[in-house]
Amino acid sequence: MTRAVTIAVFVAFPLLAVALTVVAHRLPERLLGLGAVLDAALASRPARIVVLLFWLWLGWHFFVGDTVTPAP
Amino acid sequence: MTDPRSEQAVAVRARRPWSDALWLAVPVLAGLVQLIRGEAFDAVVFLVPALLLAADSAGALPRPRRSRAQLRRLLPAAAVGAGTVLAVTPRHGLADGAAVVLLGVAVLVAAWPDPPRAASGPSPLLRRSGAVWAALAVGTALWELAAFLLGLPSAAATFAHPAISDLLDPVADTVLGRVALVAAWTLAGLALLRRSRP
Repeated sequence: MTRAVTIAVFVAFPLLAVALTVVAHRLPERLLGLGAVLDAALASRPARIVVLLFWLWLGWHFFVGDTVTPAP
Repeated sequence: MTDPRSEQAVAVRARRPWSDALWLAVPVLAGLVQLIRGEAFDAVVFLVPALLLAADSAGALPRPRRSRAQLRRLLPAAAVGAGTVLAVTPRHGLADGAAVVLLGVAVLVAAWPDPPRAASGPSPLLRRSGAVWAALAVGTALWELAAFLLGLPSAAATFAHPAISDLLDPVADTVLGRVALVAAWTLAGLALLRRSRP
């Protein structure tokens, strides 16, 4: 049950992102889409470097590092 | 009537010290979390660039004299090369490490130069939209952190509270899954760099 709830919340986040994208498309005067917000944020060097750092780390984490922490 | 989608093009080019400081706090926190995880290299990935950004904010770093246009032009081919290495060589191997680090550092170097910014601040629409999307990202990160911490005590706890890594790890161990993840990762990096074009 707990596992199902944990996974369900993980699934809910991207679904929420899709819902927000639809809202941004239909009501552009109320909400900007992720792309527009990213374009604005990435104009700043700290934001740009931080976002790309997370991208780099994801690559390291999933393809190189120990993704799963061994249980004690 | 102004197209709200075009507002962001000019709205956020002003230097905003508080905003920059908040962004700087993100890799510091991420680095501390990695230290708690006992992952020294992962902590270095976040903390060293955080130090560079802090030094840059303090004016201690020289400004890049040249644009990185030539490097940017080479990156799609580099991404294809790195993606091929990641897809065909054994996972967690040296070749994978070299591919991720070389492509990642090249992307960061290409993204470093800062274009000049106008003096205006973000529009209310952009501010509101940024808050909504940031809340979604922070919510995801906090749920991931909670799952990781709750899963620490035992294998049963990890099963009950799987982190995204626990869920995606078996996928990355399959050939098709790894190819899909590698494609998504390389394309995401190039797309982010393209969106941050000076």
